[in-house]
Amino acid sequence: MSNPTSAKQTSVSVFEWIDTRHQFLLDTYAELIVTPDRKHISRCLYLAHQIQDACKVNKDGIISALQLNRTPRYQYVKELFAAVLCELLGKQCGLTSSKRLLLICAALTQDIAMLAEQDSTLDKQTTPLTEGQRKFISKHPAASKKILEDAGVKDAIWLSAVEQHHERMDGSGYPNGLLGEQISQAARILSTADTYVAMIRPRADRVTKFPRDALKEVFLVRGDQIDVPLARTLIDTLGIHPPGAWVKLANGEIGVVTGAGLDHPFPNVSVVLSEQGEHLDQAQPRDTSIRRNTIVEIVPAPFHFNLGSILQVIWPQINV
Amino acid sequence: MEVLELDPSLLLGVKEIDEQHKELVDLINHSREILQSDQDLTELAQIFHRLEQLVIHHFSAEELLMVKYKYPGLKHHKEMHDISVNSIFDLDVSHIASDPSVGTALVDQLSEWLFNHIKEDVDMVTYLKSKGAC
Repeated sequence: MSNPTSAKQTSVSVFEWIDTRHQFLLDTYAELIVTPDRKHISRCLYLAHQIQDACKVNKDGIISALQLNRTPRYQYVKELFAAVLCELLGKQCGLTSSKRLLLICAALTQDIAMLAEQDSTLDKQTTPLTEGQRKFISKHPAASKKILEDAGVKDAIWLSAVEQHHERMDGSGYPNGLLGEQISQAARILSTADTYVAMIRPRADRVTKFPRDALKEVFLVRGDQIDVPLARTLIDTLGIHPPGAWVKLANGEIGVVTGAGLDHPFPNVSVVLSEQGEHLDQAQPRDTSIRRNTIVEIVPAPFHFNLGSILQVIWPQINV
Repeated sequence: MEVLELDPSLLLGVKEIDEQHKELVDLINHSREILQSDQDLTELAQIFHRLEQLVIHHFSAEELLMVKYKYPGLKHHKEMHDISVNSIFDLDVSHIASDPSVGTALVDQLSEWLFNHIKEDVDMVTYLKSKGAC
């Protein structure tokens, strides 16, 4: 990775930006596990800075790219996605930018102790967990925290979020069965982000949900598993139809949500299929607060002969 | 079904919740006006999108108050909220413009839902008032 202060500034699409951050995260994991030290921790902080800066200028594009990026090659997009949501939720909760950086780092390293197992077995397993796997999983928050401490992390926000991100508001979580506000705010934010992202990413043992359905499911566990204000804040932040979701409009067109509109329940959409199902040469913007453009249905990603290229140019590029 | 009105006894004195109840009543009544006036029925779909967002805010606000004042009926009340969230999020508006009977059925369903929701709120409002929540 080039030094951003000396490199000539260029801009890349949101998809390319995610690809590069994902590769950087993969390399960081590989090195951090082998050699847990400050040098590799600083890579996490560097990536957290990049995520925070990019969210300032193009959060809708980044969320869209994370939502639309569904190939198995991106095995750690879950961590990137959770990190981006932590930045946005943390901001809504009034956390300072320096605290949010630590929260982003926590999201990126939350499962550092079980990445290998998760990648090779757990994410692909369709059968129930064995007793041994359960024990291993129940210990991973503490084990992840230990790796980070060995690497020199001392920040309470980062460490508590990693250690407590599987605790639940009603005390049903692990490893310590903490209740309500015994769980750190950082951990509650990370847990909210994680719960949502887990539902919308492909996994062998469960059906991937549409973003809107996942938001509903997160809201339904408010108070029990998720902090009530955070469940609401997640929906306020993403909207009922989050960026990157595919929708059908009242006029029959099909498109992707590109970001919040002027009026919150009515996001902006770029359509790629016409009312007659024709493949459009380029995406056409639609304001869904106009009646004929009202969202009437959630749909799967459509087939379009040139979808990848069309999506590349919908969102502004990011300077790197 | 007749026009819904918000009974003054249900005013809690908590601005946020009282305004949300009023907005819910107004949205449902406006839905019925649209059905009766032969307007473009896609506006109903827009009202339902507003409703989705409003119930998220409204239920969260009520539940935070119930937790704060240790309302003994919180668990049951939240279960009722959850049934409502499922009903509202599962509304199928895909044929609303092409089939007026879909709109009528949905508005009837929502009117009944709101009537029941406000009825459920009576005990909560009485309790919160007794605890000085307002």
